[in-house]
Amino acid sequence: MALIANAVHPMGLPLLLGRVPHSGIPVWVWDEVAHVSAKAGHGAWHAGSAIILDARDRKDYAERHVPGAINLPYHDFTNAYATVKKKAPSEGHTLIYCYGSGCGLSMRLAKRLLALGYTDLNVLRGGFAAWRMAGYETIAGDKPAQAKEEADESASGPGSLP
Amino acid sequence: MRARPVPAACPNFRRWLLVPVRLALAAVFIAASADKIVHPDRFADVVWDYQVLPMGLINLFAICLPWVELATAACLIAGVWLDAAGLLAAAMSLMFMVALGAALARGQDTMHCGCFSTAQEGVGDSLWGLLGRDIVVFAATVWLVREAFRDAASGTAASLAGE
Repeated sequence: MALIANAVHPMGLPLLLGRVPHSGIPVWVWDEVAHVSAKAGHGAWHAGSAIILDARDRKDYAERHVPGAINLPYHDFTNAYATVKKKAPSEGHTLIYCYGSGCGLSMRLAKRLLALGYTDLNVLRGGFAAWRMAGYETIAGDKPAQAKEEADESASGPGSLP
Repeated sequence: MRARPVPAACPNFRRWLLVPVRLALAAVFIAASADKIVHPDRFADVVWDYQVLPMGLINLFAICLPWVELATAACLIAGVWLDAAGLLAAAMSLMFMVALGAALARGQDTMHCGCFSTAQEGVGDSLWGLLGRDIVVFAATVWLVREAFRDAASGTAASLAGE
């Protein structure tokens, strides 16, 4: 009964992890979301073509985040999304990141955004840890507007971007 | 000291009490299973947050557990296989206590238990509160199992005696 229900459920899960390496993610959700490297993510960030969403908790976001990233903590999604949705339209090119490769919050967030009609979703492979490991810019603060301004300032400075 | 004789009304009282207890437990397990059946993916996320199961088993667990809860509740309502249903209910309560204990041992004091809702919003519930609630459910299931086995044993004895 459980297996039949899972087979016909729109959010049915793969029984074994294979192509989808994280639990709780239906195969079609995994396929719908692009998984991009830190380098590709940085390229999109640099070009300003992507809306960047940080799925981590507020405390970690305030401590350090990708400049210009909007905090949409998975564990406070409903509240946070009410304020974030104007800045992150569903038709935009969206890049999501969380702590690292094993955290899974990015895919969970992508799952919820897909249900809300988002179409161009990308998850940063390796998350914020990969971004930092690559030596890309990070910034402190709890407000995306402030972060964006500072990012713009730092972007205009000599040698601030690769 | 001589043992006090058991009043004749006691077995009837026990039998009377058995019905509300098993119906209350059934209600708990139906409430627990409903949202998990509707949102298996979100329940898998909740299970992942407990950090007690290997990743490879989480999906299978998230798919099967709600249906086991529902089947247990159905048996409790129908009053069939009460011993097996009671044992399953006790095992599930115990498993939940172990998971909560593991979270407490890791130093967490709140979490989204996923007991009746798979939503993971806000700060979550107090682990001690959840543990207290689960102890009550576990105690009820243990009593139910004891009564079910006692009834089964007395039924077997009666049939052996040819009554």
